[in-house]
Amino acid sequence: MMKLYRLLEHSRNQLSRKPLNWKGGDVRDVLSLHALSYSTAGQKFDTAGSTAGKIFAPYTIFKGKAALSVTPLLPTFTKLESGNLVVDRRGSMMLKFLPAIGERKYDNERRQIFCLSATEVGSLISLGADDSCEFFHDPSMLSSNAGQVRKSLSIKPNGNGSGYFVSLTVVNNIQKTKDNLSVPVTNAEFAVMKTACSWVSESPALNPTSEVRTKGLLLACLELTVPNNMDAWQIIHVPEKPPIPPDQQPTVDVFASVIEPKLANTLVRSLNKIAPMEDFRHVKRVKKKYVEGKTQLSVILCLACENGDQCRIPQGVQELINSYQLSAFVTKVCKYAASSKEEWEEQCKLWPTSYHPHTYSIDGITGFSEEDSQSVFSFMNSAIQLAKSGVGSVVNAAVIVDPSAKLVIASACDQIRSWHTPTDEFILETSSSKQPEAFASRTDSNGVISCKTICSDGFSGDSKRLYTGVSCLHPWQWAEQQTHMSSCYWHPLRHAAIVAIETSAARDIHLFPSSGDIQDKSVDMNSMQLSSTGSPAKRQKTNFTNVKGDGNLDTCCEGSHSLSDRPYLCTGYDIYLVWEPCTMCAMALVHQRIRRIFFAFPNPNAGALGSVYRLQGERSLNHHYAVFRVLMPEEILDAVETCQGQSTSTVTDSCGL
Amino acid sequence: MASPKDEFSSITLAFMDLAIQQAKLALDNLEVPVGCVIVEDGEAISSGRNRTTETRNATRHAEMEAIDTLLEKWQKKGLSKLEIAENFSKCTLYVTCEPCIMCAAALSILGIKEVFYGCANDKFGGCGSILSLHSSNSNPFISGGVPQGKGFKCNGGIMASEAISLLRSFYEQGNPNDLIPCCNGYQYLEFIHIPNLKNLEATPV
Repeated sequence: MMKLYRLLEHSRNQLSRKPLNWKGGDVRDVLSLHALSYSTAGQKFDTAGSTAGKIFAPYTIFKGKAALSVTPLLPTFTKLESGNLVVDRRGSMMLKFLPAIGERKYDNERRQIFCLSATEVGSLISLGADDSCEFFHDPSMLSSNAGQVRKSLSIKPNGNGSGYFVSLTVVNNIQKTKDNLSVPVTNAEFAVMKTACSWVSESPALNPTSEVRTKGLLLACLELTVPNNMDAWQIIHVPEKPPIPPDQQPTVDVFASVIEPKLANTLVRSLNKIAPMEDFRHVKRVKKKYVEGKTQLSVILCLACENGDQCRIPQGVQELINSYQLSAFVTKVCKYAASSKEEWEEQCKLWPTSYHPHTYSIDGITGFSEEDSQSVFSFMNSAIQLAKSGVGSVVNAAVIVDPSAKLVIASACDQIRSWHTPTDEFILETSSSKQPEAFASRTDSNGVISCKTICSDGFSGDSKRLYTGVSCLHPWQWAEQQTHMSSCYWHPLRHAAIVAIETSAARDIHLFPSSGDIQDKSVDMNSMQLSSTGSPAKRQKTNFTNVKGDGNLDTCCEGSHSLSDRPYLCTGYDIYLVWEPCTMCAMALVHQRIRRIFFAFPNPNAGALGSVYRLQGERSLNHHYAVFRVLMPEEILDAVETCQGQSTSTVTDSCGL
Repeated sequence: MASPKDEFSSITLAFMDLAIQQAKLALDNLEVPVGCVIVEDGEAISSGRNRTTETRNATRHAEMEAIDTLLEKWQKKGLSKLEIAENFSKCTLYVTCEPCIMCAAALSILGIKEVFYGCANDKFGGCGSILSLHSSNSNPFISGGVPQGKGFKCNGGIMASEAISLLRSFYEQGNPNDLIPCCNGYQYLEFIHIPNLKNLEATPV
């Protein structure tokens, strides 16, 4: 009746033979040693038929009353005829608790399992020394038994700083049982658990078809498909100015004069008063040249009129010319500040200018690492799948992502034709609300919800190249389009980006429900910290130790949003759009402080990121995002593919087990 | 752009006054005070005020609020898309501050007839200050020979001083978040640019 769990026994023997010092040294090295010393716990891609290159072994802690083992569960994929992969089951970190039934004997029959989602693993990794956290799962969520079984995992410091208590409580109202398993974990053991989680999160998942390494996404639960033809994809930066050859930069005419070097100070001071060059701060007032071994200085007197009109030198300047007997001549200077070193070098051939490389730096402008590129491609691909997931024609889709956590914050499709009016609750699954019948939702044995939809005849031949369903491409044609369901409200302005912004704002309110009052902020933080043990998993915020006092808030600058967990609008977030946004959407993304925009296809009629307007180059705006285009074959929109039902990240938080 | 008050008809001023009332309502709710009304056939049929702080959604400008109210109202009455499009083409918007680029684009998408605004918005303005989305002539949207963008008439400077003084009082009353130079905490102040804001900040109060 009481079987010993062989693998655990095996692990223990192995462990005891290894001369490992858990308390010191590089935990990572120890861990990989640990992992490589086994070959029994390999995971398989079930239909691809090949074993992943990496092998994972459980890490087990044996204590007097119970044992705790940590095992990574890799995501499984199904290979489609098209060669693409879809995620069947999302990856997770399985915690297995076994009660002790004697000395060094543990009962596998009465084991209890708790699978941590990627986000929960993130909470665990970021757990500070005195922090605690608690997660709740319901394995029968979304079934008729919902609420009957309640699992809660709590990790609490043991009080004297030497470790934690990891406890699992399972209340089963159907069988009328209640189990409580608690394992004391030393700091060293906890460090291994944390590192195991980090290490697994970072380890490469091998794509058996194209060897694409999707680092960091192994556990990300992002429901991403990995197309096998991404080799052809490319990310290009869409700059603030239309590209012009460096030697064809616009210029303006100015009056200049050669001057005596000793007069330079006096003249420049007077000229700056009489004829300041307000809009030409990049142009240096004085030009230095070496002629026959001697320094020759020239100074800009003032701007010359444009259009070849009869130019008149301002009175004050004329007086200077007269009193110092200068001879004015007309020369050219560059109108705009250089945006690259090449431009600057060309400019200085005309007249010296100053060059200030961007004071703000946004990741990616100078290029993407392979890891970041793969991440960008994956998110873009999920936006494309979302765009194709609708019942009628292809639409635009938007996915807002927190790149630091590789977390989907919000995703949405165009909703200009039909839109269910929101109830008091915000709509999480904005996309699936559009095509309910196309989704077949199923709950697999692991309690993980997966959705699949077949987009077999998604696109009619006529709309193939016009993409009439894409709101941003045809913003003015809303009145001509048919409404699908008369019972639904429609809204000509509910473009994908606008809906995604709305969803992310609703998420913010949901996760951080306090008022926006800054005076309350510190109080609010404290109360959240105190109540953290009783709040649902997705409210877990464990790095409060980073929060500084209010006084520091006004010295911080853009990009330092990590100071607080609470996002300010979409600061630091990226958005993936299938089509270049129209003016309305592009400006909405300025307002909402998006950090980077990635789009796949240009919008020649109405695009505002380079096609018709170029908002990223409007210097008067108070916020500037970086814009990138992801180049890919347009056929990706035509291919008949099985695509994943898209949902927002919060759904992944609640996957049971 | 700023014209003397008496250039505008008393009707225009009366509707702008309604928009100012909406802006005051926003101010009372600790929002950046911008308000608007939409008028059809001499009757104010919808109103809106800024709700960016409350919703944490920086796109919830007064215009968007008023448009949403109107669309819902008309759809509840069972109007078709074409009827609603036609209705918009008869509507006039009165707003205390020049519509931003996003709102101006939205008004062009809806095909509104005319816009009256108070103060200019030289940071974000989409009706002449930064972009000119109201002007169909300068609109380069041409597809297959058919111009696609819809322009609308635009008149600025109506009761501009009232609009500005409201914005100014928003700053002077000490906004609750008081975080103008900070981008971390909750501050929605740069939603629009207040004319002469720099001077205002430099002046010791």
